[in-house]
Amino acid sequence: MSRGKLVLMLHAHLPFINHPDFPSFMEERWLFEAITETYIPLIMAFHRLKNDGIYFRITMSITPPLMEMFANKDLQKKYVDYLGRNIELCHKEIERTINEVPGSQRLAKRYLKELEEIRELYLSCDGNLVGEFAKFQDSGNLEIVTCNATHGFLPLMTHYPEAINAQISIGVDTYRKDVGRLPKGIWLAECGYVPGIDSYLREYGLSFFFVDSHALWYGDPAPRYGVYRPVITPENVFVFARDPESSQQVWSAEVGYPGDSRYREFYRDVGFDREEDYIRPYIDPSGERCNTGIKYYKITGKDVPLNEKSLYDFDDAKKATKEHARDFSQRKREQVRRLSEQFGGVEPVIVAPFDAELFGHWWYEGPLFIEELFRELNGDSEVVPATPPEVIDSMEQVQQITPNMSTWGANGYNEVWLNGRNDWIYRHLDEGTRLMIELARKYERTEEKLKIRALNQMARELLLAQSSDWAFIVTTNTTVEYAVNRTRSHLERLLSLYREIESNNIDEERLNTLEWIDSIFQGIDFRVYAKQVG
Amino acid sequence: MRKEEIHDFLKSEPSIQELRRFAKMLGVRLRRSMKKRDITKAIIKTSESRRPSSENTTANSTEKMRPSKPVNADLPSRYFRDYVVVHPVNPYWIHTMWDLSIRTAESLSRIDAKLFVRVSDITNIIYDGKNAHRFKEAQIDLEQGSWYFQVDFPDADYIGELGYYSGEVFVSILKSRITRTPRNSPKFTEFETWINRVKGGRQEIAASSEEAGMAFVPKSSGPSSSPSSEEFIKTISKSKSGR
Repeated sequence: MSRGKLVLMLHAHLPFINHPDFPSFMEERWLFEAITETYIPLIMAFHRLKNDGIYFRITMSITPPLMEMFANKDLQKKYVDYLGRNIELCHKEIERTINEVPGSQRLAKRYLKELEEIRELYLSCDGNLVGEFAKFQDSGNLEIVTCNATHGFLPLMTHYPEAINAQISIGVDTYRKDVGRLPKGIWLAECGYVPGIDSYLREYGLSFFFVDSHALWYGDPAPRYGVYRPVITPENVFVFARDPESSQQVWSAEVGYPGDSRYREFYRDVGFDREEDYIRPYIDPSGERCNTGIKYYKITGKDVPLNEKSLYDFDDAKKATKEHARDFSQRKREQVRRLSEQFGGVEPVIVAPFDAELFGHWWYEGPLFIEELFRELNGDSEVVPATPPEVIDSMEQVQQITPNMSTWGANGYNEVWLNGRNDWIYRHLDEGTRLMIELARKYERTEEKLKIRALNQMARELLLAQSSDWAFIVTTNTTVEYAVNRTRSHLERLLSLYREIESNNIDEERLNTLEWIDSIFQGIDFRVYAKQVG
Repeated sequence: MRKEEIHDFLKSEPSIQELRRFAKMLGVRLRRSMKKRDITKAIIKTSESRRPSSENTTANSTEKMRPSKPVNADLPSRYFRDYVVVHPVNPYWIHTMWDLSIRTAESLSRIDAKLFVRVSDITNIIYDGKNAHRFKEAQIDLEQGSWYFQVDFPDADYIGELGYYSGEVFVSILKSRITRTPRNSPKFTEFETWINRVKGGRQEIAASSEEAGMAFVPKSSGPSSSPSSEEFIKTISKSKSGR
């Protein structure tokens, strides 16, 4: 009987968004929505699987900015307020839906129950979501990997090895602080890999990372087993490559599961549907409408206009997740059989990486699908879920390959993060990096407390400006103004800190403010940029 | 900050730490011994002294009071350093970026030199400035700062240079580090290296047949349109890969 392993990898990431001087800030909702719709539903699904004795193995990256936002007291308080307001809205919706389409009230009650359970879990762990995930790591069900510090796009930092080193070093430090042990593996932001990055990983004790398929297909030399066996780089770091078939089954606009007509329609939300006076307390205080998470309609059909969608039926959607989990499992079994035959009995390893937020946020039933998938595969003799360290332990022979430069962005290289719309960013990031390295080396031994604080803040500003999210948003043309202004503001703060440090005229009041608003990585040590690398 | 905003903040049941920070922003003097109630009182007192309108909220003071609001901050258009940087965009396009110090720019203007940026294919050679396999170049303005070059080969080494022509001779004034374009097709070799994790040691074995490897490899992609074109960006922003 053929047998193969399945590595399900969820990449959980959001850029660091913290506006403690605002009672509420539109972009902070990204975190709140992801906690409510993805992170806590995943934790709940893991609990159910564990309680039912189901065998499951998942790998997750929880990026440093996400860990930092989970631990941020201001954001925790705002999140509880956000939940409170949404619960209040549910109560109003229950009243209101009495006379609306039959079935909508049942949904409103369901949302109320869901949100109350989420609040209960959140309060019971005191907002420590990393701790909740870590419990499953302790029980062997989950492998949490780190990510480079602020999700900086490493392929465009190759001329500053210090910058790459700092991104990796701080990623490892944050994980150690929040998880309480060292990470075994890393997710490189955007799967951005360039030959040579593996040497930094080895130095920090990271034993594996993930790449897109063509990193191996076009690796040096071509891999014997395509993307279906991990390989090892000349620096002795294991590489797991994305299986395009698994992605296609979940992601594809034409055939992907989330497009099923029974699933919930993302774009019909009471935040947009209800009249202004009624919804005002639950949307952005500016009056700008946004999602509330309360949605009554299903996809119905791909070509059905938004205003003609039919009522969502949760039980129907749940049935769909079971069908899709069964279908996915069956496809994986067939894939394993096919590959085993091609490989002469060698066990294939199928790596299926996704943005975690796809599950729950974009695809409401996604966490249920994951749960059903593991129920379906429980005790399966052909497809065995595994974490990367388990796969590595099982390998006797491994092919040595230098992966090809690659990313998981559209077209597979750097184009999403480097094109005519966003290329202006790199001139400033490069200058910021140069200045940071210059001062880190100049003041490596300084004992002046204020100067040390200013240098540490300079490092935070650089790291925040480096988030790949900003260039990505500019390309995808979504919240461009916010992304551009975040980039510009961090760089302006960095440049003025540089001037203040060099003129020995540090504005302590402004420094206090920056430490408060751009508070990521409290324990940062700017000297990480002084290190001679490369 | 308007009086109403201060009241809204107080109504949001802030913690003592938040109150302290807020008071600090308003310029309220606090003593270490002050309790939550005392700080609230001090803030209210300050707010009473403000006129209840938005007249005194100039753009500048809003910015100061709400310092985390991202702004379209002015950044220098140049930093006046000598450098040229090259990065691959994909297997067929290279991005170059440059700047010059005031001194270098002045010496160029003294000889009235027209500036060129050049990208040379120097795969497998020791480049001496003249022996590149091929190069592409463009006459540029210093202020322009960057340029995209379509190049002929994936998996090739490129170097960027800034320079000018003295007669027929290209005079290079700045060189970049070498960058390599990524591959877009498999690289087959005669031997494979395998590591034995149990017994230790490495082994060179004959490579698998091309057919077996090719079974999993998609067709390679050819050159795209320019990464600076709107058409290119639109295509990129619509299509999805792993992400």
